[in-house]
Amino acid sequence: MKAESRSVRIPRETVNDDSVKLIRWLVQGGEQVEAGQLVAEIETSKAVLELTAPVSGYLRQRAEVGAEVAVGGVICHITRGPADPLPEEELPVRPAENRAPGEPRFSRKALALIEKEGLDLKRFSGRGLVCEADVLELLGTTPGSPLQPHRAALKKGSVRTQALAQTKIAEADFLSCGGNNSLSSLVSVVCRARGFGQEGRLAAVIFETARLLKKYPVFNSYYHDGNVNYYKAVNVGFVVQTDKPLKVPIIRDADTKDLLGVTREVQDLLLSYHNDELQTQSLVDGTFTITDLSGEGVFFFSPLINYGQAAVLGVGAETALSPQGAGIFQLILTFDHRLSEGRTAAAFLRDLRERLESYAP
Amino acid sequence: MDTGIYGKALLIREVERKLLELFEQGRLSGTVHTCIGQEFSGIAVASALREGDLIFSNHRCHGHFLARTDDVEGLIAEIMGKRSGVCGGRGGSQHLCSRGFFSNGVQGGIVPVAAGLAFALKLRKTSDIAVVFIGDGTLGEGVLYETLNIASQWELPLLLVLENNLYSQSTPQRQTLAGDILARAAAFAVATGQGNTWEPSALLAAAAAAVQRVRTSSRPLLLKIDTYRLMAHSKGDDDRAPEEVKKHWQRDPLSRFVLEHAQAAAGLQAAATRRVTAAVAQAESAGDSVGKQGDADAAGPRRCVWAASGDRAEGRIAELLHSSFQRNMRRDERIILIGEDIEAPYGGAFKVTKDLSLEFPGRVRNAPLSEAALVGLGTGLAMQGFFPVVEIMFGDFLALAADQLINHAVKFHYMYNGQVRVPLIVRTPMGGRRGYGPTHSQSLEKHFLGLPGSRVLALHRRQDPGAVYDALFKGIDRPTLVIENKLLYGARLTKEVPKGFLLEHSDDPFPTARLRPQGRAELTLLCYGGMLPEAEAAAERLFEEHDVLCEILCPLQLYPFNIGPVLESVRRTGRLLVVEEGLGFAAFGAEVIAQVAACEPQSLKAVARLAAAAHPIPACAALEKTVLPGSAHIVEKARSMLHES
Repeated sequence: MKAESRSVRIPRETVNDDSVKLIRWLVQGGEQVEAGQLVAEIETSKAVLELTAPVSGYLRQRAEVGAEVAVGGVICHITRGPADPLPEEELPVRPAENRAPGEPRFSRKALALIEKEGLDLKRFSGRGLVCEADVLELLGTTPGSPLQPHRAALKKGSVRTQALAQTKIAEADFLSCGGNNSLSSLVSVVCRARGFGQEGRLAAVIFETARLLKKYPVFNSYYHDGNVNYYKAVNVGFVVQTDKPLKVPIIRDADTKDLLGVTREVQDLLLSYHNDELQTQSLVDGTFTITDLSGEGVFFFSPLINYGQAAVLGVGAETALSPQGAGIFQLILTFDHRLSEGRTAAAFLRDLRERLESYAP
Repeated sequence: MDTGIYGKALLIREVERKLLELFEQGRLSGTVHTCIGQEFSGIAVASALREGDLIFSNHRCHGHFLARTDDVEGLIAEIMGKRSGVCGGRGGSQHLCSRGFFSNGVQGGIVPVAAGLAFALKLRKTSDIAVVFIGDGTLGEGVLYETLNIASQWELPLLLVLENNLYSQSTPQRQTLAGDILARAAAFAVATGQGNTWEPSALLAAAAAAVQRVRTSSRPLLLKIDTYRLMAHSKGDDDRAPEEVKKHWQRDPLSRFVLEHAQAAAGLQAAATRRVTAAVAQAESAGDSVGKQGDADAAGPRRCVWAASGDRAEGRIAELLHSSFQRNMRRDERIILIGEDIEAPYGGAFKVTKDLSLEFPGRVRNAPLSEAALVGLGTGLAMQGFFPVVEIMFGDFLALAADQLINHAVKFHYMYNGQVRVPLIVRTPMGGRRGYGPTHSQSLEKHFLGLPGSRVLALHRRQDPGAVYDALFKGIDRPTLVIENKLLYGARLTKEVPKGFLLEHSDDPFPTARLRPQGRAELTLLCYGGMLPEAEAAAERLFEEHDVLCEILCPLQLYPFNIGPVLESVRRTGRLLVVEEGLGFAAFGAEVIAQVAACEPQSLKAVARLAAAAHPIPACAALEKTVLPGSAHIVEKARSMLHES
C-alpha cells in the first residue's frame, strides 16, 4: 500500500503573528490519533489555541515543546502506518547560526579576493567586518593600484628559513604522543616591581623584550612544515581589551626605537583603540606578542601563542610578599616547544627580569 | 435683598470696563472677551461651591475667575502681562490658572478635561465636584457630546454650566442651533436645570440645587443659564441690532440695581473703582514678564556615553508591555488605563491589557469610541496627580484627538506658569505592512512631533518596552505619546546582534540604540520604531554584497530630540541617510537633516532620506510594499549615496 501522510500546518489565527509557540503536545510522537482529536496547544500573541488532527492515523511530531513554529509551517504529520516515511520538508525550527566571538566576517568581495590571493583567513582574526578594501590594505595596495601579494613579499624579504634538526623533530613527535593537545609549554619567573605604573611598565617590557628578541631570535620566528622561519623585523604586539573587542596593536621595528618612542607609541595606539580609529596597518605583521593582564588583577595565567609566532609573553599584576615588602610580579612565557625548550625560555625571562629590575625604583 | 452679590457683580463689571479702557489705551496685549451682562452666572455657581471643587472655564472667563477667587489684582496683572499675574503673564486673558480654577481658549476641548477632573475626584472618593463653563456656541462641538455620554455612563460628578447668550461671536443662534438644548442632555440621561441672569436670586437657588444634585448623586447635570452679552464678543465685532442690545441694557439687573438702590450702589461702585484702580497701579509698578523664552525642549546637542547593551527581556513584546502595566499597577494605584475594547475578555486589539481589568477593577476602563474625550479625560486625571494611560486603538485615530494634545495637554504646564503637570501617557499602534489599508496603516507621528512640553517615544525591537514604561511611571513629567509599531506586538526583542556589529545604548533616560560595525563605517543610517529591522537587514546586505559598512542609530525618543548621537556618528561617516515609515514632507527626517546641516554642514559629504511614497497606503499587500520603504530601498539609496560622493 502506498504510504500517505497528511501535514498539519500552523493556521493563521491573528494578523499580528508570523509564528506561534508550541506549548505542549497532547499526543506523544508515534501514538495513534482519531480525526478531530486534540493534538497540541499553541500560543499566539492573543491566546492559547488547540490544534486538532484533521484525519486519523499515527502522529509524527516535527517540533519540540517551546519551539517557535512559523505560521504555515508543519508542526506534525499524520501517517497511515506508524513507520511510514515522512515527506521531505524543511524543519520548521531553524537553530540560530552561531559563530564564535572574535571570528571575522567577510563581505563577498573580500572573500573572493582572499581566495584569489590565497590568503589565510586567520590573518584577519579579531578584525570584525572585513571588506575588500581591508584585504587590499593588507596586501599593501590601495584600491585602484595593481595588486601586490604582501604576505609573500614579507616572507621573501623578511624571513630567514632554516630546517629543524631531526632530533628536534623527533622530540616534538615524542612530546605530542604524551597526550598533549598542543606543543606549547610555559615557564615563569618572579620580577621585582619598580613602580612604573601600568602603562609605563608595559612600555618598558616592550622596549626590553624587543632588544632581547635579537639575542633570542627563536622567539621571534614561527614554525612551518619542519622549518623554523626567523623574522628579520621585530614587530611587538600588545593585547588590549576593554569592553570593546580584543585587538593587538603592533609596534613596528620595536628593537630600533628608544624607550620614550615606545612609550609614546603605546599611548597613541591605546588612544586609537579607545576611539575605534586603529588602522589595519597597526594591526598586522606582528612577530611577537605581549599580554599584560595586570590591570585585571591577574597574577598568573597561561597566554596563547598567536598565529605565525613562536612565543607570547604574559605580565601579571603586582603583589607584595609582606605589607612593607617590595612589590613583585610574574613574567610568563608560552613558547612553541617544536622550536625551543624550557631552559632557553627561562634564560630569556631571567635576562628580561634583570633588565627590568635594573630600572631605578 | 442681598447686596453682597451686587457688590461682586459691580466689581466684575468694573474690572471688565477697566480692561476695555486699558485695551483702548493700548496697555493690554491681545484682546479681551468681557462678560458684561453675564456676571451673575459665575457668581451664582461660585456661591454654591466649596473649597475642593474645581472649575474649568473658557475664553470668557474673567467673571467666573473673580467670582471664584476674588483675585482682582492677579487677574489684571496677568492680562497686562506682568510677572505678578496669576500665570506670570504667560496665559493672559483666556488662560488662567489659580487654586483649582482653570480656563482655556478653545471651544469644547475643555469639557472632557473637566470630566477628567471630575473622574479624579470620584476615584479619590471625595464628594467634590468639577464644573465646566460652556456657551451656546460650544453646542456645535462634537467633543461635548462625547463627554456628555461618558460622564453619564461613568457617573461623573460634573456640572456643565451653559451660558446661553444667543450668539456665537456674531452669528445668531437661529443660524447654528437645531433642536432643543436641554433635549441634548436628556438624550444622554444627563439631568438638567435652568436659570437666567435677570433673576439673580432664583439663579442662585437654581445653581445651588444643581451643585447639590451633582454632589449627592455623583452624576453630571447640565445647567442652562439664559443670559445676554451687553458688549461685543471681543472688540469691534458686534453686528447685533442696536435696539436689541439697548433693550437688554434696560433689562440688565445690575443697571436696575444702580437705578433702584442708588445710594447702596454708589458705595459699592466706589469700593469697586478704588480696588480696580489700585490693582492697575499695582500691576503697572510690577515688572513686565520679560526674559528670553528660548526653546523649551532643546538643550543643544548632548554628547552621550555609550554602553554595550545587556541582556534583553524574553517574551513577545505584547507580553512585555502587559507585564510592565501589571507590575506598575500593583505598585502604584494612581495608574489608570482607559481605551476602547481594553477590558477582559477582549483585552485590547493587540492584547496588551489582557485580563488587567479583572485584577484591577475600575482602573481599566472600556470607553466609547470617543478618542478626543478619552485623551481629555486622561489630561484631567493627570492634572489631579493620576498616571492615566490612554490607548488609542489605531494611531490613525489619533487625528481625532489632535486638539486635546495640541491645544490642551501639552500647553498647560507652560501657560499656567508651571502650576500644573500633566503626566499623561497616550499610547497607540502605528505603521503598515499588515494590509489594513489607507486608514489603519499610517505612521502619523510627524503631526505630533515638536509640540513644546511634550515627549514622543517610538518603541522598537532592541529596547525592552516594559523598561520604557517602568521609567515613564517612575518619572513622567509631561504628556508623552508612545508610538508602538504594530508589527512589534507579536514579535520578540531581537536578541542576536549581527555578526561583526556592536550593539550599544546611549545614557539618555530614553536611550538611542546604536549598531556599530567593527570597521570603518561609511554611512550613518538613522531610523526609528518599525523601520529598525528593515535598516538592520539593509546594513547586513550592504556589507555582505556591496562592501559598505553602516552604523545604525535608532532613537527611542523622537521629541525632544538629542541630535548629539547623530552629529557624533556623521563626523565619523560623513554620510547620513534617514529612513522613516511615515510621509516625508516636513517630517522627522527633514528635521534631523536640517539640524545636522545647521550645526555641522562641513561633516556632510552626502545626505538623503527615505520615507513612504506621497500616497495613501493601499490595502493590497503587493501595492503596500511599493509605498512603504523597505530594506531593498535602503540598500539602493545607500549605494547611490556612496557612488555619488
